[in-house]
Amino acid sequence: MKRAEQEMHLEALIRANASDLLAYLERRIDPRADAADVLSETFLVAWKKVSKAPSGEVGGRMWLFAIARNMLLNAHRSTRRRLAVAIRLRQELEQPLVDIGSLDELVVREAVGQLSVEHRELVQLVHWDGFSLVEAAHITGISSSTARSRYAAAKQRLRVALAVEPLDSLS
Amino acid sequence: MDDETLFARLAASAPPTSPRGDRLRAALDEAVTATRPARQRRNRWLLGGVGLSVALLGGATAAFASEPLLDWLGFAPDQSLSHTNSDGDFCVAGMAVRPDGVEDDDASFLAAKKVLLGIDFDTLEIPDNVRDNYAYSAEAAAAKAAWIAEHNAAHPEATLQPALSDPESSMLIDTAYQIIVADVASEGLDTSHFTLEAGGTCAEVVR
Repeated sequence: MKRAEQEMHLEALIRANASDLLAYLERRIDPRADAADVLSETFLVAWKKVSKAPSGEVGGRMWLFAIARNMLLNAHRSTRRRLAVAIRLRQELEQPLVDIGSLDELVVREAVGQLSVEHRELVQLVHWDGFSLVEAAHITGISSSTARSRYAAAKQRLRVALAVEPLDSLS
Repeated sequence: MDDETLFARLAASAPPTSPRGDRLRAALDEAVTATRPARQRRNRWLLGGVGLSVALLGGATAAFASEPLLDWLGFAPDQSLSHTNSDGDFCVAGMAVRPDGVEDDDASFLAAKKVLLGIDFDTLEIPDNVRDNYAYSAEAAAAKAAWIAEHNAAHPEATLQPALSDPESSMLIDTAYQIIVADVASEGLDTSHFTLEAGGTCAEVVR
């Protein structure tokens, strides 16, 4: 693929996945508006690696999410950079959300938060972001078999932690 | 608790995200565009609706043409050009040499900027290797349009809508870039220390 084709391919990939990437980051970053900076950094890194972007749509999507995940890990480790290119997006994300979730949603979120980092990440990718377990394994850089065993263990822990009827149904 | 119940509760527990309204989509699109790196061939084109009147046809100087460019280019151009294309539309373009991974006082970058400032676009001849470049051929334009149509059909939620470009202006900018690279190289300097960012616009003639 020629450079110009690589660039058009990456731009198409980014535009097709930008909203999902933002959602992925929004759900994991506090304050949520900081997702704008991490997203922009994700795009910048993707452009630096344009020649390495997988040619397929699915592979390209996984590649972008893997970059976003790395940026997220870096963001958690260091002070976040405020990027000028993300100002307007940041302003949009600073708008308060009306719906913060039901009580049961908060309880489940808390239970997910109590899982180990490895277990939690798989559960979130599968149930919050809609990835298959194989895709989640790809994004997190682990084998499918490792992902299966971790996911099974995570599910078992969640069953124990949430071994009651959904709180909303009790009211 | 069965899988179905567990999965439903997990899915419902996903933290909310901002509603994907027009404002957020526009801001997201802006972030996507702004993070795309400036490169020599990245020409940002708009067509029409920029307030250039037909009265400017034939009478605009390069200096005059730079004024409206400043309003929308997003950068102060080092140089600008203006001409009337084969469709009779008045087109202007602005260019700026940018340091690429080096400091502002880098010798290669400064040399490139100096060369650009010295180019007279009113008399600049487009060489055959640029004019005959596949990128400016009808075949290339058709292939690009087909590729974009295919992408847009597959991704109606994230369509690409590149503005039309003016090939003549692009060819002049490419020619300038070739001159810059050749001159900088002739001084024994590194030609990878700068990029040429350019953008242009055309005002359609009212017929």
